[in-house]
Amino acid sequence: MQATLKKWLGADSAAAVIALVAVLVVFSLISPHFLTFINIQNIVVRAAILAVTGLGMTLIISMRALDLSVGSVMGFAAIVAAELLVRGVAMPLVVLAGLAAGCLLGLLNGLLITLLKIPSFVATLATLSMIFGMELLITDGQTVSIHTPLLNRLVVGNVFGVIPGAVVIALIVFAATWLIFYRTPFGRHVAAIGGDLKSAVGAGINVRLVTVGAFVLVGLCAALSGLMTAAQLQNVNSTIGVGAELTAIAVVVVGGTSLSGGRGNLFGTLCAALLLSAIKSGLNITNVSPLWEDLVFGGILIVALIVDGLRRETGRKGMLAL
Amino acid sequence: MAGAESTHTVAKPKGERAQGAVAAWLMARFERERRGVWILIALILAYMAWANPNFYGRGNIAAVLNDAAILGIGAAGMTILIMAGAFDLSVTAIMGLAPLVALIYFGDMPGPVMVLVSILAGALCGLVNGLIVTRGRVVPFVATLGTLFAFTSVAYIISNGTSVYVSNAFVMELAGGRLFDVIPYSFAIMLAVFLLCHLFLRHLHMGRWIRAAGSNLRAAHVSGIDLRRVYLLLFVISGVLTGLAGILLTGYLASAIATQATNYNLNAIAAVVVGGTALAGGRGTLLGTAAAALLFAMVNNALILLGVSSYYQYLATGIILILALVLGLIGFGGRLPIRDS
Repeated sequence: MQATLKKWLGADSAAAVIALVAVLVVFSLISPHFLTFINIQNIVVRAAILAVTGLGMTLIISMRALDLSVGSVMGFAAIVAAELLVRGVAMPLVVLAGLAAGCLLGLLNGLLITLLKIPSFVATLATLSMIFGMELLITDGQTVSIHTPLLNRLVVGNVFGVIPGAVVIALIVFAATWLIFYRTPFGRHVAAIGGDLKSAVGAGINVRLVTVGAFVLVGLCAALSGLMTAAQLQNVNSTIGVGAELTAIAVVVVGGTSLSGGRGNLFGTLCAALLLSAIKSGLNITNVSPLWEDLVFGGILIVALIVDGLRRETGRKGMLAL
Repeated sequence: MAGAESTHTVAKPKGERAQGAVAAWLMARFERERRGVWILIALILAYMAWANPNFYGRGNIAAVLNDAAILGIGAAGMTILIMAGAFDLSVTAIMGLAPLVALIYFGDMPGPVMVLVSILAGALCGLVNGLIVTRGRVVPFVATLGTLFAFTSVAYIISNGTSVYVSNAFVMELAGGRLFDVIPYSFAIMLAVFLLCHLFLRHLHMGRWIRAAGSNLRAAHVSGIDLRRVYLLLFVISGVLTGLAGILLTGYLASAIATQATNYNLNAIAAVVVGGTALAGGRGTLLGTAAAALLFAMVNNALILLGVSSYYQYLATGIILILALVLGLIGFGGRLPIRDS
């Protein structure tokens, strides 16, 4: 029993799980409306959209890289899809096109990083800006309304009358990224590159190929998030995904994945996405002004990391956790 | 330190020495990482002289310099942070929060007091960041990501999510007034900031500690540098400069809102990188950052003068980032002959 407890508390995702449970308990005690079917649905749909990008970002961060362009990729995929839908293209094709756009942008990131040898932070900072510019040029700053009930139902509608489609999508993405990350050579290579680049090169890992692959994957995840957002909102403009990159990074970090690379915690990311969504919903339902949301989330982020640092204290007194 | 070594000149006969030093100084600005920004500035200056001479009008120059100043002042703090291997993502929030504190709680005070309050509010935010990093031992990137959320939220809460208007003449004059009708006060302030930062980095022990911490944290620690003091001070400096930039922006816009400087953090980092400071830390150049801030301001202004849709400025920002890095990679075999002479 004690051993099990220790194992759970020692897990990288412990902070996210504990905070999530605490938030759920507190809000359900404060408000009877918190744990209602409809509200839970709201929470999980929003969490699912956050999680899909976050899961891709977990891979990138465990590779000791960053992708700042995910927010723009979300918006771009949503806009591509909306523009095609308005022009009467069949829905499956539209979804494919949106996802393909995400893959291509991911490929662009990967190539900038590997061929031009630009650090991922800078390369994706550049594409963040460029893709956002393209979004504005395509939409001319306007909002595109899509009226595709089927697409909306796929995301917000319930499978078997209980589970929102978005959750099913997020769980599929979770399963897929879990398998890729923990059960394929590619996943091990991603972690190896993040752990020690020189050793990874020495071990004969094709660093360029793996890097490009990981960025294509995160592009795909971001595009999927973007499409889900578009389907949920039914109104698409360039504000979709603005700032999402930092939220995604925050979610990954709260989930227990270290920015120093080498390991990733997909389950923690999932919990952290739920946590953020639960906070938003909880504050909303207890009539706290939404202006407080980010303060609570930012506070949890910092406290989680401080506690995490104390927990891992290994006699490095005096050293900064840089 | 590579930066220091590049400015050394080999002993030469007396007459040649002065000339050689100037040439070496100029060429050092043209080194690998620093080259891109200068080439791009030259290209834009030349192109605008041909395409739209209005670019060189007094009013326009002042507008460009003012834009450059608001980005540059914050980017100066970011340069020193990145040199020390840290980031401050919360500057976006401080840009909104600090002037809002000044306007909301000290709105009927004299202008200089409001400016001071904004700077102090920035310093306080920086102190919070610094304490989280040094005492809470959270990585700067994550710590300031957390405070980015938190400070933005505080700015929203105190302003109730609305705009606050400025009526204080001093604050508006500080942001809008000009020396000799060309140089905005804000740009003069930026130059002063860069000069101070330069002196700080070159002539105080702290400057050397900063670069030492940035190039090898463990070695810096082992050699007895008080890293906590270094990082705490750095975050406070970044907060102070951001608070200053924030009140200048507010004076310029004649109003303040929590989100008045969207993406200021990423733009400042972009300016630092384009200016030739390595994200890996340990080395950096303030002059490059100032030039990069000028470059971004020039490009945005040029696009407007050329009648290009303002949407292209986002494309331009990205392209500049990549070009500045790529221009540093090609030609000269990555090294200028002058350095070996």
